[in-house]
Amino acid sequence: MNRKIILSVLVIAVAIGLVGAGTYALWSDSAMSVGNEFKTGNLSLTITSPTEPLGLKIDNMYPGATARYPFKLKNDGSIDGSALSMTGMFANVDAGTLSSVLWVTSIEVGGVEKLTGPVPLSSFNGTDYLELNTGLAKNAETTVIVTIAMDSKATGNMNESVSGAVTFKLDQ
Amino acid sequence: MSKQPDAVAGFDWIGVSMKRQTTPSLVARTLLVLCVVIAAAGFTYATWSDSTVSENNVYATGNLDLQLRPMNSTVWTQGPVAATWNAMNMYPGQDLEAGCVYFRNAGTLEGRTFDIAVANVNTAPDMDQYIQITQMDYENGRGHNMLNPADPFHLVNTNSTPWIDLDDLEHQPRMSLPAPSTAGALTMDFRFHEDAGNEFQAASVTAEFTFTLHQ
Repeated sequence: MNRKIILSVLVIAVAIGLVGAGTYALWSDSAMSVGNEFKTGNLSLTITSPTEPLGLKIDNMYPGATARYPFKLKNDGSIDGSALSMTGMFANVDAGTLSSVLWVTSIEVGGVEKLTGPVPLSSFNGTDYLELNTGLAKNAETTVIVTIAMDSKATGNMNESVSGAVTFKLDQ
Repeated sequence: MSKQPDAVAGFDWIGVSMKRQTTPSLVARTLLVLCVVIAAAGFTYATWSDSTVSENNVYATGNLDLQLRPMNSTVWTQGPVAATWNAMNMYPGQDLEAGCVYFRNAGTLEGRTFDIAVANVNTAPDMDQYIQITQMDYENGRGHNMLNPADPFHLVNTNSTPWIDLDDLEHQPRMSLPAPSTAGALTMDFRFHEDAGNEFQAASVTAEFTFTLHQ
């Protein structure tokens, strides 16, 4: 008998609890923190000179001749770049072989020589970048002068030319 | 056969007895008289009364009033507060300055649970996955390191990056943190992850934090 009474009381209590849970609202209050912005900077390397398209044509060469190609670079981005590098992609015009006797003899960055010795022009393949061991701060400019020489011992390649492009890269 | 006395005219004793009665019983007559007397008294005598009023019984509700105070400010506000966590010109691998917001319940009711909800707006897809959370401490009188898996209120990783980031924070299940006893604080540090690619240059994430105190 007592068990029945206790059981009944429990059932009623649970029922009241369920009714209560479904009936009463729970208040809340909110406050906000807005405009939390995480904004990245950027690197923007531009060639300010020459202003023409960077197609590079190497012609009028002769054995022992050199040609200088200056490029003015600027970091127009909002953060500093720490590593400037370059590559190139060149091809002989009209099935010549001039590129095989051309050498990059000097690369100056801001007046500082970056090459330790001549490298064949063909080593610039468009994918492998030559580290120039310098950075370029935001809004800073520098000049890169590339000197290309024709092998003084070359015996042919008259009236030949090489065309290609130079690509500079600035890494953060 | 003796003649039965006449019944009271129109008086039917249905269901009481088949035996007809010649006169109303003494009880019925008494009741009738009493009713008449009471009715007459009711219309005749005034009933005095007196009353007094208990005034100004105010049934006022309590309230929850969650207020915020930005870091480097002494002013509490119901919000919104702006730019608690801010970073400009971020680059991959950069640790960002820590930010903190304080909160208190200025209401009359005690809060029981506290929730943090975040909504992100990316200008580059999934950029919020690269805003790594390097510290997230919730202080309510009993500090909680929400990046510590041993803490019962730690954040769970909800995306494919192996670190906890703003995107994870946006997709957390309801936290139901214990409410701050008097005042509390949320401190967070971030890092723009070193794996962020070039697609995130000159991009941004804007995060909106909503803090809710529940009764």
